Amino acid sequence: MPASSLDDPESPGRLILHRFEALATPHLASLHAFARRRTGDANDADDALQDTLARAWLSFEQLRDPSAIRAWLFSVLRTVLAERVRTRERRARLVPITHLENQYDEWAASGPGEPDAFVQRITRDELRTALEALPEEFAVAVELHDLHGFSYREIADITGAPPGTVTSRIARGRRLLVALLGEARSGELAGDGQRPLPGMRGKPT
Amino acid sequence: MTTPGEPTEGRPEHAPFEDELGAYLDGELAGERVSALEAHLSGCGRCRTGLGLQRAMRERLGAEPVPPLPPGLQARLHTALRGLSASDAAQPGDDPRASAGPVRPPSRRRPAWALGLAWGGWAVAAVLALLLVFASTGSERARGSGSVAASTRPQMVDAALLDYGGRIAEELPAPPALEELEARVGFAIRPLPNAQLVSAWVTSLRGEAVAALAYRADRLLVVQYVVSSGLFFRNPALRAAVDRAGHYVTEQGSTGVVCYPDEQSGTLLIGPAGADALLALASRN
Repeated sequence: MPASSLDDPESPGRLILHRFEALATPHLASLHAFARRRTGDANDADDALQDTLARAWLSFEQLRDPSAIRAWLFSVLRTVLAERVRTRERRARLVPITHLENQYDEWAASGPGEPDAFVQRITRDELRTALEALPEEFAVAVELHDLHGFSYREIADITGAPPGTVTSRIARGRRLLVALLGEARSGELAGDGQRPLPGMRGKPT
Repeated sequence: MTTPGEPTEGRPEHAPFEDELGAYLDGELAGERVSALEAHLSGCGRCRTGLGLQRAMRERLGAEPVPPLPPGLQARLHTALRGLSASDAAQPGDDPRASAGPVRPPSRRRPAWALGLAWGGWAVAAVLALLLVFASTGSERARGSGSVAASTRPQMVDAALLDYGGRIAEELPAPPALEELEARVGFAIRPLPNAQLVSAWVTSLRGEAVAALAYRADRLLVVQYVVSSGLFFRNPALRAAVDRAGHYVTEQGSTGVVCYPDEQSGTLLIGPAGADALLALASRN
């Protein structure tokens, strides 16, 4: 297409580009926030978002339902992020799942404790750190649902995982997140005299 | 709190229910499973605790605000999109890679909503006709022995074109020292010796740091993207073209791209000229 035709506000190319931008722009902040947490780096998130928009634009005609633009953009972003080596390298350093599951089991078997009080005191930085340390598949499922409001069906579409897998990943992801946060805050909790949460040193009493 | 006689130890007896607590809380659990889970919850303190935990965690996460975009990023993204569109046109449908998740199988016909539903039938028909023309002529055109089909064009080249489109629409930064660029990308850079360097920056292509050097050459502004050998030779179609002709060339609209390997890196030369002109420029350097 000649570049000059895009200078014409009534040209088909310009109208379609405007349509794409109008649909995509409201979701840029959410996409960037998701990419920022997944990459752990602001510049990487910028690059991932730029790649995502380029790919989405080039395959825009494949989007049949404009109301699905948000889930569709996230699915493209997931593909972009999956191809980034740094993400894979970072994820290789994560805490083993078994370790966290055991900590949760130890706490859950001993009684209810006070999860509400514990969770409400979690700071933003602690939450960000825990989400970045959470194994990728669980972090993605939990974030897409609890932070970005996607349904289980939409998450299955975005991630390519079966709906049953999404169900278990969200439940397990929240459990693992609490185990990570409990580990990070074990000293403070012990000082409160509350029932220990996952990650506390020693056997709960 | 658990009560005597309740199952409290071990994951196996709880696992099926614990993994459904989130879906139950979120209203996403199938009806038949709801009954079974509620029956289990009535006699299991551990799972009731687990349900409370799921709720507390969901509410805490839901209270997190979405941070705004970094200053200037939205403008840069929109500029890049316009640059991509103008330099090619890379029109919707050119990229088969973004078919993930809910993306439907490719269709060459643009949905009516994308054109604006308020348009009349004649307008829609006219636009569709124009799009068909653009689809057949606006993309990469076949070239000599160093070219490959558009569908196999390396993603690295697409990413470089996107960066190029965005950068040339903005004020270019002053070039830093060559040593600084090399330190940031991690490999040696060989600038074009017979062209006037006017700007340089570090960007990211396919997740790897890349040096971009902008030159004035033959009254044109051309940009040399210097990438690692690993990134340069990643694409099999590009490797095949280099094997055949020593270089890979492609064009998008009025923008040409020439890719050729250096001793320790690879170069993508992009500019507002045909690939032949860029190839001639590269041969002089």
